[in-house]
Amino acid sequence: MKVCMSKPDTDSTEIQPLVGGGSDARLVEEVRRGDREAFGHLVRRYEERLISVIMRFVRDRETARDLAQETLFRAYERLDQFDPSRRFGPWLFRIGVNLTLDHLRQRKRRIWTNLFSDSPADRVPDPATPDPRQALDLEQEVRAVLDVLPEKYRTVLVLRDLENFSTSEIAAIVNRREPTIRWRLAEARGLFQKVWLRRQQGKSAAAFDEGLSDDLEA
Amino acid sequence: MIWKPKCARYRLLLALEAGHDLDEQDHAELGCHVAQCPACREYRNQVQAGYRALEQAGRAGCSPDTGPSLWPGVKVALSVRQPGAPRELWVGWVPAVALAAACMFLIYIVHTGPSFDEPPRSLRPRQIQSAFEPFAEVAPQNVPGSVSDLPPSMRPVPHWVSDGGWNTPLEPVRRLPTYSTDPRSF
Ligand SMILES: [Zn+2]
Repeated sequence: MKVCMSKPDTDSTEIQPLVGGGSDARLVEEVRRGDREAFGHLVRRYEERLISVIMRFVRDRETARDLAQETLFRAYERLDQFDPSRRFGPWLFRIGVNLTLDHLRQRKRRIWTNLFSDSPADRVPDPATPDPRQALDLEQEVRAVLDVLPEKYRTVLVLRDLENFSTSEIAAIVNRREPTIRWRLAEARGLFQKVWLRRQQGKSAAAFDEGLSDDLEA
Repeated sequence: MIWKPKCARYRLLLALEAGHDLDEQDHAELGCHVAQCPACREYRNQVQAGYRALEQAGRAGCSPDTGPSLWPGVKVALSVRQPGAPRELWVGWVPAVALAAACMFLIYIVHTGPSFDEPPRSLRPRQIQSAFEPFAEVAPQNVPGSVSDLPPSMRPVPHWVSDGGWNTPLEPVRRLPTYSTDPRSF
């Protein structure tokens, strides 16, 4: 499989300057020299997209805003680790995505703990099994399917197919080579299709064939 | 419908094709295969349906209400932080290393260091620093070459007499004033 960008970068919502204040590299340099207002330009440039991306993972706006704020703090504190020859956007989003995934892992651990508690309210429904009492809209249906996918597949699908980052940007965000991302994207779409089809056909999770269960545990 | 082993690779290409992530060469090769493989044609329809759902969900949530700018809050919080200061790198391990160093020092003092009531090794007579040191340690103090044979200025000073370390000369012991208990002295 060749590495290519038949879907050109311009197709993606490029991580690029949207607000005034000069190039990212210049602003970063100014922040490093102690100009806090320069960091304000970077914050205003990226915050909306950052919150939007985080919301794809956590759903709740306030949680997404908290995570975005923490991302910005960390970026500020680690600015000396940023390589100015690279793009600031993917570096910032890498911090944000990692922070968000850590948050989700912790939440998942809490949910697993709660599963052993007596409170049925704590229990989460199996997202691969459509709940007939709920008429979910398409977005919710997609989210439910994404929820059962392994994290590495969910991440590339969210970043590529929901947020429209280019594969080179995703490679920079998740710190992998672009061919790896393309391969993972292909597997992720195949896996999504399998679960989506099952869900649309209304089959329960118990009816999953072994192959699909193995894929999901991968 | 027959599924061929080589279909696995084409299915990955079909997944990329669904999102327009396939290059021209692979696209042409895929077209040839799909034209003669009904299983892959069906798979193409399915993977495209899945991609369309993802695409629509992406559009549905593409411009969420993200709320007011984070900058005012971030600015206040940053007033106590420094840009690029590798704070976390240091804060995390310095106390642990300091504690470990202190523990190792204490262990060293307890196991290998001189007892406060014995002379430092440099001041001990050569005879005591023998290969049988454990036994020599308990040698009576009045044997020839023992600490008691050293001139007074070289004798070790117990820690409770001096604060200045082993080499501080022994100060004369201050006598406490004595008070008469004789009522007539008042
Ligand atoms: Zn085939």
